Amino acid sequence: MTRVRLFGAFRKYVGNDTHIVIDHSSEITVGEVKQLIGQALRKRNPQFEDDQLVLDSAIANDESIYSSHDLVVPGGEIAILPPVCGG
Amino acid sequence: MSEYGEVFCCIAEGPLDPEAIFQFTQQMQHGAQNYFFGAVREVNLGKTVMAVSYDAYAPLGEKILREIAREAQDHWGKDLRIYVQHRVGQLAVGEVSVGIGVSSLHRDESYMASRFIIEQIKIRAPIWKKEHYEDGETEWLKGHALCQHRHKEKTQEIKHSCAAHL
Repeated sequence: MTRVRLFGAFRKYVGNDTHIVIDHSSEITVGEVKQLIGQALRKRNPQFEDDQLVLDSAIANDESIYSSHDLVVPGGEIAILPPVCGG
Repeated sequence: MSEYGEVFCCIAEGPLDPEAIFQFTQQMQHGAQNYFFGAVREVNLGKTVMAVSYDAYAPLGEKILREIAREAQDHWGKDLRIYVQHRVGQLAVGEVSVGIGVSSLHRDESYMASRFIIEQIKIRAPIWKKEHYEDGETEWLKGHALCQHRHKEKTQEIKHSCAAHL
């Protein structure tokens, strides 16, 4: 199980929540994480259909952005970062 | 003592204090100080904007701002003194959302470094904005996908572009 922090456009699908939880018991790839996030968002809000937003997003923690080769271990907290537009 | 000039990077709700930026970057040995302030504008893509809500992943964001500042120092001078602050929360039209101060020995370096920093913030900092329109609608703006490989290429492009003006 991993807690996933949501930012930007993802917030509109979860009301006042700031996290969702994805269920996995072993290390998984960033691609698998994104699949689970998409499923969890659909479960949380049936109106969620923006799979492209998930694909275009990065997976990160407080320290760095995961590369596509990195594995995510269960039990921690990560974040999904949609395309950015600061300034 | 570090060979690098001091850097301050912050993502926070509070208003920007231009005087604080000025005080931080002021250096007796530096002959140039450059300041950039970005503000919420009232029309975007033909829509009248009433406010913008900024969202950010602050811990990672501040780390990335420091990385950007260090890259600027490595390219335009290790002694550059750099202050970067980005706001979060809801800002009305006209309010300042981002402030950048850079001081350097001569003016070229502070101009170039400041431009580099704001362009990098736009493509690398985990910050998002939602516009609030006069009809009550809101919209999260589309942005740049975070991809480390592409950022390195883009960073080189910007550095070359800035260098061409020196």
